[in-house]
Amino acid sequence: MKDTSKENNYNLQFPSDLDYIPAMRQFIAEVARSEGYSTKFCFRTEIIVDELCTNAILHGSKGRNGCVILEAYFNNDIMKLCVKDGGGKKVNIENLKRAVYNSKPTADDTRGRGMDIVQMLADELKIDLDENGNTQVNIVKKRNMDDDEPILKPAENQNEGTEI
Amino acid sequence: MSNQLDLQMSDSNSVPQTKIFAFNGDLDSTNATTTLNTIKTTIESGFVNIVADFKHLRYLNSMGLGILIHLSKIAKEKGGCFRVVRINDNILDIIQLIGAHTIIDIHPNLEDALNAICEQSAKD
Repeated sequence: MKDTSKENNYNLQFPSDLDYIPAMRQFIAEVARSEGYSTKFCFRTEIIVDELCTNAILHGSKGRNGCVILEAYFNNDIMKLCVKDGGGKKVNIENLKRAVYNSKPTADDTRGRGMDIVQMLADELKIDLDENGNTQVNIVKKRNMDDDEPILKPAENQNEGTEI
Repeated sequence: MSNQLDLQMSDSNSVPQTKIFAFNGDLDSTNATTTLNTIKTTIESGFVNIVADFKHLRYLNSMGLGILIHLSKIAKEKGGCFRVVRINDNILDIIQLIGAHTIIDIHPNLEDALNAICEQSAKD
């Protein structure tokens, strides 16, 4: 039984470059796994980290040193994530809030659904400026009892030996 | 530097104008554009029916999902289709969450997808 009474905090800083995201998202998902969260929770965490960091890199400002800051906090049954970029202009915040709260992509849209997915997967989402004027997106995700509910799948009939 | 995704293309000997792409790894922002261009080129060369085998696809983000929807549209415009088989539970969860399963044709296995292509061709 994992001792969940202690807090675990992680603070990562990486260059504002998409190539760094796979390592970051996989690391946080692995931490969640080590904290005893379900496979489904960890996969969803990986997606949240990916989308937040991708958004910060593609739409955030390179800021003072061209870095993205990723903070993760695990305590009991709650995970908190914070992603900061060097944005800090009011227009950046307003654009991001508009993208998150007003964008309603349809099922056949090919782009612009990253933050929409985050909103669906997280329990709370907040966008603001930190004390240094950087754009920051905070999310809270709680451990749910239904995390490992079976997923509806097309009728399973995995025929490995199909002649093609 | 891009995240590891191995894409293997093979022929379907039983169904004409059809190619099968086996995905192995993660489909994300670092390799989505390359993947899109590779499959798009195949469709434009006349193989309008594409089957994407996701048995070994571990991970998919919103950009990867976007290219699946885009490829589905391109294939349909060319009179063909884009079908996904052997998808893992976690990826299916995300696809269903955003409602993209109404756009992307998902099948449990290759045989089922190839039969669907044959039936569609017979109707056309």
